[in-house]
Amino acid sequence: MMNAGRARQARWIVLPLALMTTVAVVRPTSAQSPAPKAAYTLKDLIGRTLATSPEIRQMQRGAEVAMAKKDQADAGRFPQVEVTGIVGPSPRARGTVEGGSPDRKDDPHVNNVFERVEMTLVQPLYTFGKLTGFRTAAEEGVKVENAKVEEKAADLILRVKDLYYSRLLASDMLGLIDEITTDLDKAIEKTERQLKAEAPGADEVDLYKLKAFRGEVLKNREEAQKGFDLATGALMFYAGLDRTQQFELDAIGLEAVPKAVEPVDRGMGLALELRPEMSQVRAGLKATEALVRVEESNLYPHFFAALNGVYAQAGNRTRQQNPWAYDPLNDRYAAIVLGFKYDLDFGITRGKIRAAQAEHLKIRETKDFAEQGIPLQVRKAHRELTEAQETLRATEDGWRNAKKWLVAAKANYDLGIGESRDLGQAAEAYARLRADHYKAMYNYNLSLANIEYATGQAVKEEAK
Amino acid sequence: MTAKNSDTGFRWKMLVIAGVTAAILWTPGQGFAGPATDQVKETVDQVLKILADPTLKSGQKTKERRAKLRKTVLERFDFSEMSKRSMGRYWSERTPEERENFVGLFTDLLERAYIDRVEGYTGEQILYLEETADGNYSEVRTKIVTKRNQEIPIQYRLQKADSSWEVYDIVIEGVSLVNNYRTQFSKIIRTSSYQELVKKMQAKVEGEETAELGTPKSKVR
Repeated sequence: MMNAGRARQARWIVLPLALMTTVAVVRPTSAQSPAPKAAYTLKDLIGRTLATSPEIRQMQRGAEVAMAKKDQADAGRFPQVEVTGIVGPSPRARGTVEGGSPDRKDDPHVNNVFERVEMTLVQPLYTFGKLTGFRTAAEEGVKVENAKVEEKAADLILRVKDLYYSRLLASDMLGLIDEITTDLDKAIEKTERQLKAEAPGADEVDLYKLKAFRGEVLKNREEAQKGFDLATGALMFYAGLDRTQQFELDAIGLEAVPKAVEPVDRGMGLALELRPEMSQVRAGLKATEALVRVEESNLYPHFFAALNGVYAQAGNRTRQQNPWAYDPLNDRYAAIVLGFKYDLDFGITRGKIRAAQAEHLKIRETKDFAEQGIPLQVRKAHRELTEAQETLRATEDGWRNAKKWLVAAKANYDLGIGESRDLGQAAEAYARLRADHYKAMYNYNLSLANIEYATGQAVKEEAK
Repeated sequence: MTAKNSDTGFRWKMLVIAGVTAAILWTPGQGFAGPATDQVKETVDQVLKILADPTLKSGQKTKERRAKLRKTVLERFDFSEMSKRSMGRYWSERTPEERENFVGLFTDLLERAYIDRVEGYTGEQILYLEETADGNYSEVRTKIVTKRNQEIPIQYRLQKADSSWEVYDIVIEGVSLVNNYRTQFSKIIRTSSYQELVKKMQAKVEGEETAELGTPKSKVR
C-alpha cells in the first residue's frame, strides 16, 4: 500500500509514458498488451512497445528503488525507537539493602520468571546538514531514474520508427522490383515466342540483354525480402505480438510528408533543456553535491534528544525503593536526555569527503561533455535532414524523367522503332533512381525522427 | 457600424452557401465530368467488362477476346489522325497509298501494344479527374492508382467527330505518344528514309503475327 506522497512520486515517474500507454503507475505489473489489430499505425506500434517493453519495466523498477531510498531518507527526520523485551528465570530475592535478605546470590533459588521491556527513543535535533543532504540526494536520485525511464522510451521510439520505415522501404523496393520484372518478363516471353517462330526482327542478343538485366534486378530481390522479413519480425517483437498473429501496416509504402522543424539553434537549446540525459546529469549534480554535504557533516557532532524507559518485574523479588539499589529484573523508570554523537578519526572522514567531491566533479565532466555532444547530435540530425531533402528533390526529378524515358522507350519498342538496349537502359535508370528516391524518403523520415530524438521531444511528440 | 456588420454577415452567408454548393457538386477524385470524359469512361468500362468476362478468360478464347478489345478500341481511337500527327511535316510528302499503308501498320502495332497493356490490368483504380474543352478539342485527365498506391497520370486528347469524341493522343506520365513518335519518325526518316521506317514497322508486325501463330515461316533456300 503506497502512501499519498509515494503515489504522487509514482505518477511523476511515468508521467511522459502515462499519456500514451496503459502503464499509469510505477509498480510494474505483468505486461498488459493492447488488443491486436488488423493494421498497425506507427503510433499503435510505439504505444504497444512502450506498454509492453521489459526494458521500460526494468527502468521503472530502478525508479521504484530510488523512491524507496527517498522514503528512507525522509524518515530520517523522525524519531527512531528501539524496544527490547526479554523473559527469563528469576532467582528469588526478598528483602531490602537496608534490612538484608534471606536469599543468597551464591545459592540462587529460581522459583519464578521475570519480564523486562526496555525502550529507547532517539530524536535527531541537529546534524549539520546530514539529514537534509540525504533527503536531497534521494530526491534527485528519483529524478535521475525518471529520466532514465524517459531515455529508454525515447530510444525505443527511435528504434520502432527505424524499423517501421525500414519495412516500408523494403516493401517499396519489392514493389519496384516486381514492377520491373513483370515488364521484363513480358518482353522476354514475347521475344522468346518470336525467336521460336523465327519471326523477322527477332534477335537472340535482345533476349540475352533482357535476361541479363532481369538477373540484375532479381539479385536485389532477396536482399529486399530479407530486410522486409527482419523489420517485420523486429516490429512484432517490440510490439509484443505473437508471430502467429496477423500483422499489417497502415501504409503500403514510404511517404515524405513535409513537416515543420525547429531551427537548428532553437533545437540545440531545446535539447539542452529537454534531453533526458541532461535531466539525469542536472539531477546527478545536485545529488552528488548533497552527498558531499552529508560527508562534511561527519566533521561535526550530531545532536539528539533521547527517551529511555525500562519496565521489569519479577514476582519473587522485592522491588527496591532505595535509589542506590538497582535490580535489573524488577525495576521501572523513564528518563529524557539531550546528547550528541561524535566520531573522531584521523583522515577517514576527510577521505570520504574527497571521494564524494570527486564523484560530484565526475558528473560535472559528464555534463560538460553532454553540453558539447548533444548540440552536435542536433546539428548532425539537421544536416542529415537537409541532405535527405536535397536528395529527395534530385531523385524525384531523376526518377520521373527516367519513367518518361521508360514510357517512351517502351512505346518505341512496341512500334518496332526502338532498340531493346534503350529499353534496358531506361528500365535500369528508372530502377536505380526510383530506388535512390525510396532511400531518400527513408532517410528523410529517419532524419525527422532523429531530430525529435536529439532535441528531446520524441516522447512529448508521441504523447500528442 | 450596423450596416457594415450586416454586409459582413451577408458576405459570410454567401461564402457558406458557395462552399456547401461546391462540396455537394465536387466529389474528390472525380472532378467535373463532361461529354468527352463520359465517352472515354464508356470505352474504358467496356474494355474492363471484356477483361472481366469469365467466358473470354481461357487461352482458347484469346483471339475472340482480343477481337472484341480491338473493336472497342477502334471505336474510340482515331488512328489515322494519330498517324498524321505523328508523321508531322512528312505526312504531306506521302502519297495516298503510302498514307493508307502507314495508317494500317501504325494502327495494327498500336492496337497490339494497347491491348497488351490492358490485358495486364489487375484491378487498379481508375479515377477521372478533370476535363478541359476548347471548341472541338478536349483533354480528359485520368489517374490510375495501383495497389501499392502509386499514381500513373494518363491524359486522353480528343477531337470531336460528329457527335462523338475520338482520341488522337495519349499522354502517359507526361509523355505524349504522338510527340514521341513524331521525334522518332523524323529521326529515322532524316537518318535513313521513310522506307526504312516502314520496313522496321513491317518487320515488327510480321514478328508479332508469326509469334501469335507460333510456327516458323518456311524459308526459301
